[in-house]
Amino acid sequence: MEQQPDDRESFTAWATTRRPRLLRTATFLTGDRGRAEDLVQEALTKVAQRWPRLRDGSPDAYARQILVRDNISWWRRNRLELVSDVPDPGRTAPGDTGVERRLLLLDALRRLTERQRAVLVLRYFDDLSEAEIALVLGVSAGTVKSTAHLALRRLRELAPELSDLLSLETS
Amino acid sequence: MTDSALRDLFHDAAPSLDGPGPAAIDRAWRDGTRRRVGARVAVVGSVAATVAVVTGVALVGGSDGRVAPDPSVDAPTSTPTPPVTGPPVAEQVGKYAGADVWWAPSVTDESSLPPLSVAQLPPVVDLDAAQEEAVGEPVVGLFSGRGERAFALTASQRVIEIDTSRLETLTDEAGNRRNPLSSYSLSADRQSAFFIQKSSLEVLDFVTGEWTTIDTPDWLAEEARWMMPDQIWLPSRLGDDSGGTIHPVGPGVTTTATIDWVRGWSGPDDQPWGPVVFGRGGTAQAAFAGLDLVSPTRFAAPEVIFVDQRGERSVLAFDRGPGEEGTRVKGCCIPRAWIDEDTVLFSSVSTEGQRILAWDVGTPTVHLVSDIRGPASLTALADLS
Repeated sequence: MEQQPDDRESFTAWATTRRPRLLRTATFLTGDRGRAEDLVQEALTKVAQRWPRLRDGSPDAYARQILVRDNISWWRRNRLELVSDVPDPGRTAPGDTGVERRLLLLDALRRLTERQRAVLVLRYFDDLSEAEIALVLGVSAGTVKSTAHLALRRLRELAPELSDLLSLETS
Repeated sequence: MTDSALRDLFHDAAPSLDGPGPAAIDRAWRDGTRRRVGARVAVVGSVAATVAVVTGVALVGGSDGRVAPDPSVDAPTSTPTPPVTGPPVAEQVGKYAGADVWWAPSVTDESSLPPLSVAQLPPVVDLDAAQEEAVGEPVVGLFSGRGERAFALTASQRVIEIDTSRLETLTDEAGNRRNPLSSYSLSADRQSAFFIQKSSLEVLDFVTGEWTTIDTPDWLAEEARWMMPDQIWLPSRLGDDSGGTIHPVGPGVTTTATIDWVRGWSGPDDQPWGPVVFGRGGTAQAAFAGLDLVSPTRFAAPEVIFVDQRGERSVLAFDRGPGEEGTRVKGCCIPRAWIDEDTVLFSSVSTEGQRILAWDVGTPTVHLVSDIRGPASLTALADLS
């Protein structure tokens, strides 16, 4: 577990590759760019703190776990003054149905519970399996499955225009 | 459409982000390294303070497929060092089932523990000074007294005696009288609590002051747990901790559900009991331990708290004391909440009174957080992590 001379180098290489993705995940989770950057910074710091143990293991999984759990903790502490921004959906021209669908998705995501949103983001953006999501959230795979089902159902209610995308079958 | 179409939409909707990556990564490395070094200094200091007066940890074997003790590891072999002046600390005494085992400071040392300020918890929770009035805000802790008496510590640190006059006297199936609060009574959003009745749950919304009744089969309410801020789970039968039904608080339909609740860890001869406290740091649960800690001054088979931090296991063991002043009661020490990923809060009840203490898991550091005074016991604490 001792620090090796190349630890900083290997951490920097890992973080440089992963930070943009983590930032996108965190922006989905929080709906707020500034808070996403704070979340990612804290996650990277915690990974750095444990790098001698994590470097040969799963730093990605640990970083995602910190992102999701810190976000839920933040929300619990601040739920009475929760303010969310919808991230910029992109630069496509107005009237583009693609833009409308992105806005619908982001707006609907914002209205889910933190855990529901986390399950969908980890599944459909980060492409994690149910077992991997369960590890991140600290719940069983069964709970992930039922949460995903509820989240998709809620998403259908909030954004019926996207119902063609929102199959309730979760596999 | 398929999953892949939704995945595509997520990827299309992902924001394009540019930012000061290298500077942020440098800062993360510096801060992370600083924290790591700080933690190591604390551990080194603790080892120096450990006096190897404990003769060893007799490991209890088992072959039933549960967690097996590691017979290859035993008590620490570091050279004993003279005790150093300073606050009481936990002493590392060996390993059990692969976990580091620590003796908690004695009851008489608790009042000398270094204080730890936790934003949501005052240094003294004086239940004698509780006012009987509307709660009107989220609640951090619940306390149960004799009969149906119940107290709340609010988010703004008011101490309130809850009006429970609508509740009936409660006995368990064996006829033993009990308080209607359980360790699982407080909702995760801290806005509600359920009170157990023989054939119902009575749910109080602290913010609005409204009560909601959920009818239940007889006795099953004893093992209720919150699922969501507006859903409560009941087992199908007492002792079944997975199969059950989910009841909405308010309008809605009851559904059946199998829930794999998060579990703590324990060794083959341990008797875990009480709530599994789950938070950012991992899990923690009390147990009557099968491990046989042999010591000239301490009882064998102590009460313990088993902690699992994402696979890193630790045990905090509690000596009952000499049997007179400075004696812990049976079931003395129960984990209550995590305040961050490294620190678990637990309650300690003894002839000296009730306290909330904090253990920096895997280190000798134990803090005094709150003294609890008055006619009730801490029963539930919000997750503070």
